[in-house]
Amino acid sequence: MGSLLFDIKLKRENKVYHENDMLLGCVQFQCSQETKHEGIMLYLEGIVNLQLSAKTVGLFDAFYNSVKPINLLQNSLELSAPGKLSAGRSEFHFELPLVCKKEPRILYETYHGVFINVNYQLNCTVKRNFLGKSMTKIQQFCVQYKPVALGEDSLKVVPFSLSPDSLQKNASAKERLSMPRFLITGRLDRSESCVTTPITGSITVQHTEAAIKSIEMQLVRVETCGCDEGYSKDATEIQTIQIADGNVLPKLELPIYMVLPRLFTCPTLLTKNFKIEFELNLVVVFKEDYTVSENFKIVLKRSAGPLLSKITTAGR
Amino acid sequence: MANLEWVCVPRCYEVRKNRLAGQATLDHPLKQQAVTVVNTNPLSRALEGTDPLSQFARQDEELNDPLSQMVTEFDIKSKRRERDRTEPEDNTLQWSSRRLGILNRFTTNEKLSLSTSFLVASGSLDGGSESIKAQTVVADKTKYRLEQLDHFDDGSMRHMMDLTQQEYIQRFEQLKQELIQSWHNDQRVKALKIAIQCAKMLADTTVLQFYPSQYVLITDILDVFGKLVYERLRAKGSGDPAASAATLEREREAARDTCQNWFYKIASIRELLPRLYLELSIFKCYEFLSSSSEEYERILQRLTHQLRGLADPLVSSYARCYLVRKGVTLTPSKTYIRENFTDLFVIYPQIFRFVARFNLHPEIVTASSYLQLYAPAFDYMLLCLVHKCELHTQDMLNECKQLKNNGAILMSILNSFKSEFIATNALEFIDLINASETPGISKSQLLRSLGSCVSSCAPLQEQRICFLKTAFETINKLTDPNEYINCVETWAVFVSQYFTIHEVNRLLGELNARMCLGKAYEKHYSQLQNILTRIMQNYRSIELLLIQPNFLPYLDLFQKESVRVEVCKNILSFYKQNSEEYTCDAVVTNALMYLGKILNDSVNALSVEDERRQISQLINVFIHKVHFGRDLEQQLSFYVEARGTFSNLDAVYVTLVHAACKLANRNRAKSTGFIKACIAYCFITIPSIGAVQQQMNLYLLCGQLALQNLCLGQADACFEAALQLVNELPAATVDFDGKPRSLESFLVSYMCNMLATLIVVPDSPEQGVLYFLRLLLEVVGRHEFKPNSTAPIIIYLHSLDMLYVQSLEKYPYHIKGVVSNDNLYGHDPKFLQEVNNICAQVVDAILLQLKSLGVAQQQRPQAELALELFLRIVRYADLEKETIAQLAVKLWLLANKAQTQLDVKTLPQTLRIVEILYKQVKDASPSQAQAIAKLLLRMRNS
Amino acid sequence: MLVLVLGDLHIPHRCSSLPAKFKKLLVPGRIHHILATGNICTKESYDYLKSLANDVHIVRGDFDENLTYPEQKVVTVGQFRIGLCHGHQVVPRGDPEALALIQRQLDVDILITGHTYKFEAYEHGNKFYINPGSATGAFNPLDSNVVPSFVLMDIQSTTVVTYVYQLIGDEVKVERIEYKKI
Repeated sequence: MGSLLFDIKLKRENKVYHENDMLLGCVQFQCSQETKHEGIMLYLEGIVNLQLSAKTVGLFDAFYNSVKPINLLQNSLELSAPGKLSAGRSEFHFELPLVCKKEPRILYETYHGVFINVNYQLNCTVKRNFLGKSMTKIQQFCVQYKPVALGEDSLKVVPFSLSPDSLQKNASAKERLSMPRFLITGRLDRSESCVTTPITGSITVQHTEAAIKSIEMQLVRVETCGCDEGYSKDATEIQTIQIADGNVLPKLELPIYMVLPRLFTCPTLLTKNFKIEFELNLVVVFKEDYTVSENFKIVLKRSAGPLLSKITTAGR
Repeated sequence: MANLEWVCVPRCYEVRKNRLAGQATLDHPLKQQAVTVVNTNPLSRALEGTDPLSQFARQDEELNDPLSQMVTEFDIKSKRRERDRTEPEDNTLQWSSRRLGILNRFTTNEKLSLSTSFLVASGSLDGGSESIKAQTVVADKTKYRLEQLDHFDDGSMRHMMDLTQQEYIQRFEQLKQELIQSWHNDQRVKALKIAIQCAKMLADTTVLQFYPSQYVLITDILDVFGKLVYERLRAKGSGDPAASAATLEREREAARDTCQNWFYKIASIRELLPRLYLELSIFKCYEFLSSSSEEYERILQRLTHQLRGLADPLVSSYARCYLVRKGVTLTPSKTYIRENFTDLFVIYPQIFRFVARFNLHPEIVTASSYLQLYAPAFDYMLLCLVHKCELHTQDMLNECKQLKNNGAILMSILNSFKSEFIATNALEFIDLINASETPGISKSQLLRSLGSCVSSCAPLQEQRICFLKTAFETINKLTDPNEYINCVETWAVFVSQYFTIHEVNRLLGELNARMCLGKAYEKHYSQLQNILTRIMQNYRSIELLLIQPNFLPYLDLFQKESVRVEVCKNILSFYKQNSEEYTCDAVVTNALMYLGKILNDSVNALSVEDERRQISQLINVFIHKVHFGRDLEQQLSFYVEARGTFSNLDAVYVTLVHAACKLANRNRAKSTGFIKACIAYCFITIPSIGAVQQQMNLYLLCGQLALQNLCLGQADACFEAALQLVNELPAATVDFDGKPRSLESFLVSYMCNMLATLIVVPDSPEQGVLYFLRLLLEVVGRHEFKPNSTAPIIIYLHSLDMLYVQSLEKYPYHIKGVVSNDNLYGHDPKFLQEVNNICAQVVDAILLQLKSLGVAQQQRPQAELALELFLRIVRYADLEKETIAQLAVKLWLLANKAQTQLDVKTLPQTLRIVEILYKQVKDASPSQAQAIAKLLLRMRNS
Repeated sequence: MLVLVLGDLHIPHRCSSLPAKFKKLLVPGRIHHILATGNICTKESYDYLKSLANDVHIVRGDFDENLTYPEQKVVTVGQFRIGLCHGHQVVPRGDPEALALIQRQLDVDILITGHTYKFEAYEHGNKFYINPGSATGAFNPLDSNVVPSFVLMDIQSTTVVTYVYQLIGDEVKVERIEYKKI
């Protein structure tokens, strides 16, 4: 029995597509000798998978339906009727439209979260006779929204200030008194930003009695599954980025700069079955492991192409 | 009385030298090859390369004429050379030239620690148990979390403690290898993780004094990583040159995408320090994303600002240094470097908070050495800032002035700024140094740096004196002798390079005064030596230096004998290389004698041969250079003084004897009295030389010289002394390689040389006929040769040569004015009889020796020497005498017996010589010819 | 094939160096072999010769410190066997018969000797004899008129073209002498 190798190649090297694009590519076969098969099929699939967090599983049996996978794309193509693949290399080219024909009539962006996943893939299966096992290859690709302009919020600076007084909600008056005195101010450059541009801002330690050990910025996803009747909502950490290491000099403006990770972030998504939202936590850790933090809600959009810098080099 | 009756036969033929006719010539192989300009058609030259016809014509020309071909080749070569010159590689900013210096400078004896998950601690036995890892239940969940590259909480992390510096360096070398290997095994994430772990260790400042070296080791690894990433992306992006444009674009896009992924990956590193270092390590890869200088500039500025988050000033300074290192390779812009300094000046006071702490706790690290830690980073950054750019120099200087505790920055400015700039502002720098009161940086350190700056580029001529005065006012205020001398070390170069001998002398005087206080010199020999070396290297005239009033007293600072000797050697070496061809200055000579005496006196029985040789050589050099022109008397009295001074050095005595001989030779025909004095000098000096062989050579030389100058008495004394020494000659001497070497062949050739000389030496009326020859034979007879040595026979054979010449009516050569024996005796029969007698004795002696060779079974040498004697008999002796003819035949037979052991050619050749002789004498002396013919017959018949 | 022949330098005792005009002619890289007749005297002089050509052959002169140099040596260049000997061992000095004896012993086509400080080139018994003189013009205790000289042999198959370089006054005079092997 000779070897059969095959691979799904997409025309676009970066595998990023928009809705209504044509998915172009080919399946390449490499056989050491003539090979019989019972048909070659290509399946296109786009699915939103929802999952309830462990702590809410029992409680939400009733709404189990609401966490059923949502089909966004489903299409298939017979690349070849049963027959033979000749020895050597053979290629089957395909063209598939990326259109969502039924509800929600939109292709959500590819996203990998903890409880929610939006995934697109091509699956090529070579059927063999009853003795031979079918062979399958999967090729994932990304769907992204076409860039849209940012809203007015994108220009709005979000100032903040941390001090014992600003932490009223979490601490009693007594606790607040025993707290070391400090004042940390800063700003986020905008509350609405593009997934491909870093989140920027600045932070300045105005003064502090206790030495600072670290200042960190945490990116959090808030995933909600379910509808009005009941839902599960979970916030999980995506990444934490340190901004300051050690007891930084007071009055020195430190930049906040966070690149949003691809795949793990997507434009903020609010649907009737699920929501994907993002937040930032600014965390200041003092020497005695005493921590204060501030939470920011942010809205992510896609306002630029996948590779920002590609635009600047396009003319080369 | 000899048994043999020997009669010398008169020589009746003349040996003809057919001198070949020579022609004067201007053309010869060593002639300098001048490049002649070829007359090419100016038109074709103007059209060079454009017109194919003239090109062909030119090619033809070149092919036809080798000379013009050479010229074109020369042209091409010189053009190539020119091109090489116009594109010199600028290495100023290259980091590699600095890293070794840092590694050597910042070392520690403290134990170091290192944390990594990629190395198995050597020697630990529990390595195996590590493979069982706790299975985490939440594994599926972490799958969806962004993989944190810099989290290693799974227990795989190893903390290696108590590493010595060497071990620590080895571990990093291992990590580097591991990284490279991982990369080539397609484990790129592992390679990245190793790089991150390394970068994290840059936050560790527990062993402060090692930090700069630690930085070098770790950034080496990061550089390797950066290079691997870059090279791979480039390979990916450049593609196959034969590929289509579309494919190339696709590949370029793929490279761009991969590159973007690297930056994404690195952007997610949690900790600030490794994140910034890693981004910088692959900074060059931004090339694939953008090509605009503004873009690099923007990124560098962003990184500069992000670095503010590093609280530790040392860690932050070195991170900035890394940023600059990476930046300069991609953009010539200086703005971001300037911004780094702006930020550095903000955190600068923080450094002095540490300094204050270490002032209280010098046991951790002294304030001064703590500040030293910053120097490599500051120096390099400043250098990059001002390299090929004047924009920020003045501005930095101004800012430095405003800064409190500005010593560290001032120091780096002195180290990194162009010397021209410092020279122009030299006086201002003195003021700045005077005003600087920085804990941990002393004024002397700053002055030292300023000294080396102005040494490489001096202030304007008109400012120099004033500047020197001001500078030394400050330098002289330094009370600590250590600080003072360290500082003067660099200024010595400046003074000796740009000022007159007067200032150099004054500097030496000041040093003498300062270092004598409390015997300060004892602790500063190396600096004092250095200063002297630098002055000698830079001051134009070593002679002028030697005669300065403060020069010799300066030597007195070196009280320790070994150092003093070292210093004297050093001075004389400089004299050897840099002095004028001759010196006739008595003061210079005195100084040299003084130095030489120190060296001579340091030699004793325990000195090694090499030391003696080295010292002698240095002294010989100046003895050769001392030259009083026409004042020969003064020259000789200098040699007399030198003999008195350098009594420990044989080799110097040899030189002195040669020198005196040369001196006598220079005099020639002017005053016999002076020549006699020279020879007398030699005669007195030679016995003090240890090596007999040298003595013999020199006696012979002096004897010849005396003969030449008609000082017969002295010549006789020399020859007598030489011959009397023969029996003191050791059997062997030790040569340069320490191997014993037999002196027998020396003795043989020496005796031959002597014999050749004795031919013209007239007999002295007091000593009887051929006294020296008889003495020579007697000495040889008494001398103990090696067993079975052929040496005595060879000497005897040549004695026969000499004796035969004595029997001739006219000797082949004479010395003008010397009445040799031929004229002295006028071919007197009595004298001839005496010669014949001695010949007979010599032959007897030879026969005796030949016999003993036979007894010792030495057939081959016996046969060879027998033939030699045979030939001499045939040539010199009267073959009509039967005993002689018989002897000749016997010798021939003896040689024939050993035929098998002889060279095939030997016997026929000998026969041929006899035949030639026969032809030569045939006409002039038929009787001799007949005797030879008879002999030939007998030889054939026997 | 260029063969430089020189000797009796006596540096540094009798002369400080080779005449500058000679030094100028002797540039590295042109000469293939050096035959030195002895009295090179010091290591420095030897090193200098080494810098002119890699192949240097030396025999011992009466004032050579280095006793490891042989008394005689035979070197083959092209089709010529060349004998080398300083000559202070020859009695009487420079005697053509004595030299012929050495020539026969060594069985050479050309015999090169020094010691007399006088350039000579002659043929005797179909053999070629060369004495390059003293390259420095070092004084000779037995002869007061020494002209600095050396010899360069250009050996091409059976022909030796000998160039004699003599420093007369302040000028280098070159003579060309041709010798053919029979």
